[in-house]
Amino acid sequence: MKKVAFAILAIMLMCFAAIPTTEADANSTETVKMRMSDYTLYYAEATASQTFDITYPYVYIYEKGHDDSMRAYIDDPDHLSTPGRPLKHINEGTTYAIYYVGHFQYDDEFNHPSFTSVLESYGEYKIAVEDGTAVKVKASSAKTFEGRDSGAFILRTYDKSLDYSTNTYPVGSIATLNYDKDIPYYGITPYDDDYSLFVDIKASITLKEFTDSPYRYVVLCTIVTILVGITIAVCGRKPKF
Amino acid sequence: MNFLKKNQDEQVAESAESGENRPRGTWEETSTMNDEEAHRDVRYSIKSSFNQTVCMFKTQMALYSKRKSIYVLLVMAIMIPIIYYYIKDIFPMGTFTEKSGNGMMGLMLFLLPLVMALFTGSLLSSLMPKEFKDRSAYMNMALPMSRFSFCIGKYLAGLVVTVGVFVFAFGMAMAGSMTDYTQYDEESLGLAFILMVLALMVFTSFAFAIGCFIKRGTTILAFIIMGFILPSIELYLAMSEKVDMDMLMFMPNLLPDMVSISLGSNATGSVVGFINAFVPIIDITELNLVAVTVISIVWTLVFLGIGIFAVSRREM
Repeated sequence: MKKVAFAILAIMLMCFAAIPTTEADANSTETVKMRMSDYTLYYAEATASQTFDITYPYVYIYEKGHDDSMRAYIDDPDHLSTPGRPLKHINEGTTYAIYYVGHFQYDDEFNHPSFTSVLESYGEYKIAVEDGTAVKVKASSAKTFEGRDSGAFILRTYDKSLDYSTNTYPVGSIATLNYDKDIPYYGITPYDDDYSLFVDIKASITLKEFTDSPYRYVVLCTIVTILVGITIAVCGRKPKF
Repeated sequence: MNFLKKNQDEQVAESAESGENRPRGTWEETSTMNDEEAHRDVRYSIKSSFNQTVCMFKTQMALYSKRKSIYVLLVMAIMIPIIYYYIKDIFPMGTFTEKSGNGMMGLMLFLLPLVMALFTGSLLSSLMPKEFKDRSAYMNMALPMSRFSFCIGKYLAGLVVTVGVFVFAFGMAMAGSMTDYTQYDEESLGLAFILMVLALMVFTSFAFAIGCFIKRGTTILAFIIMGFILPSIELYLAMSEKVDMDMLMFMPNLLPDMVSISLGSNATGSVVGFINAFVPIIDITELNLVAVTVISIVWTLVFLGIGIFAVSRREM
């Protein structure tokens, strides 16, 4: 019994000894510019499959390459400029740049069958997790240009159709993301209750990739449990005085 | 014990060497016993403090092997992944949905703070009161065993059992998450494992100390103090800015919360951990592991010392 216990102990020590040898990739912290708003600005390039007139509000459509005024408006933190007049008449076979402001990219009012492209959140920090890796994301701070702090970040998990689910993380907490073949990328945007449209902020994002296997800890947990089980079994006999 | 028997055997051997080989039972003729027959000169003793502690440890482990609550918790630990998947299927988890194996483990251990407070309270708080209530301590004390060894042996048995049960639960959560994920952050796993062991030391020593002061064994006292009262006070002090929020990182009673959060869950089932999902209270990246380890060890030793002091002053 003692030999078995020593053997188990030796394996356990080997597990412990091996743990510090594994090092994750170095942290890479970068400051990124993101857009904070309650409504999200979505963007897509799409070719119309038929000719039609569009009158939906919050949808700004320009011919591809003619959206400079909208880009300037978006990039201007003070929004002093105004976006150019959006198109109302859509021609079949023409490619357009589409901007849309809303809660969801599939609002009924926008979901027009003539456009096949999907909208992506504009100004979102995108995180693609490659196969064989996982990523740890920490959004450590977020400040608007006026100096106001953002208290939380929204993490969007996009599926293949780019429909998404959201998680909210307080600033400073860590989101760990694993590769998922059904998820092309994750998106992170700051969130604040005291929102306003198109507020640009600077956020500090730390990405850390890792490819570790959990088996060492599975072995460790198994051995500890077995050792305790053996101890109880051995001591569970009636003690002799 | 073997060494007790050995002492007796040595006495008999010494008697044989001295030529006293008269048959036993002669006192029936004289109606008196000599010193040897009456075992007057035999000293029954356990060799050292270490042996006394081991003796008490084994005795307590034998008692624990009959405790149903341990087996109930082991079955519950096996059920962790099943319960998690069931809840995930039934209720939309929304903002709590996991995105990684580590995060899934953290969510599976969502109730760790409360379960740890409850289980350690159940196992350790009743150790001493039960001994005195059932008067079984008198039997143990009848041997020349120091109260220090008596207490340490019992505490170590409680600690070992709780470590075994919770490491098993940790392993089950990991095994459950491995059905969906393959890549893990080993650094987080290691940190969570260390924090859990430290948390067990802290919780067991506190529950043990509480048990040393009360007359009747109760689970609920240690559970309420560690699970609700202390976290609520800390939360109030932090929210009212009477204490710096960073100080919460050094509170040993929040170690189980830190286990889940270090794994990637942004919330736990405790008072502090639940609010952490909405207000960043525990920033695990700022955790000073060395300081937390030192504080936890000091906490353990202090409460263990308090418990032993209380028992040593207790009237038999």
